[in-house]
Amino acid sequence: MTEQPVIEVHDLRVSLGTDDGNIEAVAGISFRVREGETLALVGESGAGKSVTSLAIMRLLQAGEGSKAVGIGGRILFRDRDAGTIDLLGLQPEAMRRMRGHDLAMIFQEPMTCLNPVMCVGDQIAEAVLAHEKVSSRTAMTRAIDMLRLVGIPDPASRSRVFPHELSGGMRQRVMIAMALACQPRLLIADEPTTALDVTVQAQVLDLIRRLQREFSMGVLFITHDLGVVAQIADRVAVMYAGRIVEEAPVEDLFAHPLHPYTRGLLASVPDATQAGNIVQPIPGSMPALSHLPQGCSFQPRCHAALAGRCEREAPPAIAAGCRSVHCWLHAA
Amino acid sequence: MSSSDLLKIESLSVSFGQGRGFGRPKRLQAVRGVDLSIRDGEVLALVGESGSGKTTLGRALLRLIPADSGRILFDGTEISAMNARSLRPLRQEMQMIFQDPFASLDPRMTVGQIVAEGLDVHRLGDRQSRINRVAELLALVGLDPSHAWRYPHALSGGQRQRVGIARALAVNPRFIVADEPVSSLDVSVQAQIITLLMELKARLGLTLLFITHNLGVVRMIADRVAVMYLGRIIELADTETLFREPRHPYTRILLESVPRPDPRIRPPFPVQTGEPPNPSAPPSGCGYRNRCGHARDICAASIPALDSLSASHRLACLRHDEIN
Repeated sequence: MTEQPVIEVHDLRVSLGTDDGNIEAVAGISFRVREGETLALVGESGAGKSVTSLAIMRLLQAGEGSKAVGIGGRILFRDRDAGTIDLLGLQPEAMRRMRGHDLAMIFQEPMTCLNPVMCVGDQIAEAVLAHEKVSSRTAMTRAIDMLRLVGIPDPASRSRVFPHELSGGMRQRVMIAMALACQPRLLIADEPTTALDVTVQAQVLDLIRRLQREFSMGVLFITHDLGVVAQIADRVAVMYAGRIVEEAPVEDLFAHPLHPYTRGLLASVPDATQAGNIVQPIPGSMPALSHLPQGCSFQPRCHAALAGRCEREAPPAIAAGCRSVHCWLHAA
Repeated sequence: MSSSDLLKIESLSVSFGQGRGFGRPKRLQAVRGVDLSIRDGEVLALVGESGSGKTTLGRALLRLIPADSGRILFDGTEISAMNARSLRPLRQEMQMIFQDPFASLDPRMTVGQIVAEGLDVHRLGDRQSRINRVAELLALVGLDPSHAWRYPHALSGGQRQRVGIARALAVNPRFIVADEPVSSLDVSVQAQIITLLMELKARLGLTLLFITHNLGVVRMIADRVAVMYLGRIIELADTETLFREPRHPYTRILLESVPRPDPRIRPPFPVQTGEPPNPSAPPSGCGYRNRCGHARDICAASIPALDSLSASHRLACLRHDEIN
């Protein structure tokens, strides 16, 4: 394997202080994303997907409902000159220099990261100026190039419009242009197409796929949409209640899901391309992180739970080839 | 009107006032002269992108918002011109399930009060029978009777949507408009709610207008599908006909855009040209023409009518003979 990992996450733990006491939103997860690879992080609300991405970006702060934040583990980032940095050990100023330059992030709602009173060209140029010693004229040229690259028609004049003058899909493109202006090594995409109509989603997915190839970026793609996963991911990590319960190459995961939760998720999605499709829902819902069951967190919803085993002890990680699963059913 | 139509709308138009700033007030035409019949006992899916007018159509045909013009007939009775008082008994027959179970339940009412409200409004039964009915309804939607004493904030999204369904079913309606009832739910919970809705539909003989943008759900549950674009229905067909032989250029690109949940088949993403339409400044003629690869001058000149291609397939496209 020639592709180097861009990022390696080892035993990441994030605890948040909430009104219900301390909860472990991310309970020791490990994964890596290689150059040019898309890892999809899949799961339902509250599984810990977004907390994971915010932890990588070091954007989790005390306050705002979360009284205390504890982050443990290691997040190793391979630098452009092949040095490896633990992001969790960086000073805030050093981390600030990396954000937007080496690691960038795009979100579901573009207006949360676009400045409503600044025209879009200036916003992208500002991102360039923050990280590179170039003239403002060069930065603006780069901004216009980026707008062209993301498929905005007539980029020179569109660079002077304000975000509210653009459609949702166009705003998403502007946000992508801004995130990629400094050619980051890792792009974290947190549900970037969830709010879009399906035809616009197709365009944005196509754009992300194309730009990834062009820049050979690693992409951590966070979504709950298994159709999107099937179309865009190389590898998939399925999260449930703060843990990765299964990780596999995308073809293997869809063809032979091992974890009962993964199977249940796949059986829950009605396929628009198949006649007579049916769904088999998973009973119940994900437990609150403040009241996790004993043993395996999925066990109360699991039809295959082993009595005397699954409700007592957390399942071990079982690795087989290039995939892994956390489930007693697959323990030897 | 055929005897099997439960609800029929004729050239229904709905507009909204827009732009309360300076200058001339503008009207936004959300629904433009729609004709549609919903058959007794069927699930008709109404699909289309944001701004296509599907929610407005669903609300207008229940008379939750006023229409500008057109007729609405429910079970043979014209309801479009009725006043609020004479409409009230009919409201019992027509109910709605909303998209956002977090916004559509009053946070200050208990689940029991929410479900019983329709019974109170329509003066159905006495106090004790209402209490029994609430317990029966909660059981019907898969909730525990003890949920009646809880408040919506104490429930999960899926449980809230079950309450929304119980509320709609309380008055024994025949017709339900379900507006994106599963869009805000997690995948595994979505499947639970769809399955529940279909069980209830079969058990209670309901007729459903199912508004959604989720085409997987449509293929699973709908008998027929109507595709909306810029306030008009542009294609209407039996579900399998529509998915197998979509005829409108827009329907085709819509179906191709759905990501297949199968990584072995990765077609290139379809490229839709042009910007999504702005409902306050629609193009002349066919609403889709400035994004359509097949458009000619004729498409700008006149509005295509929803013509019958076969008994089960209607299409509004002036160029369908040349395209296919």
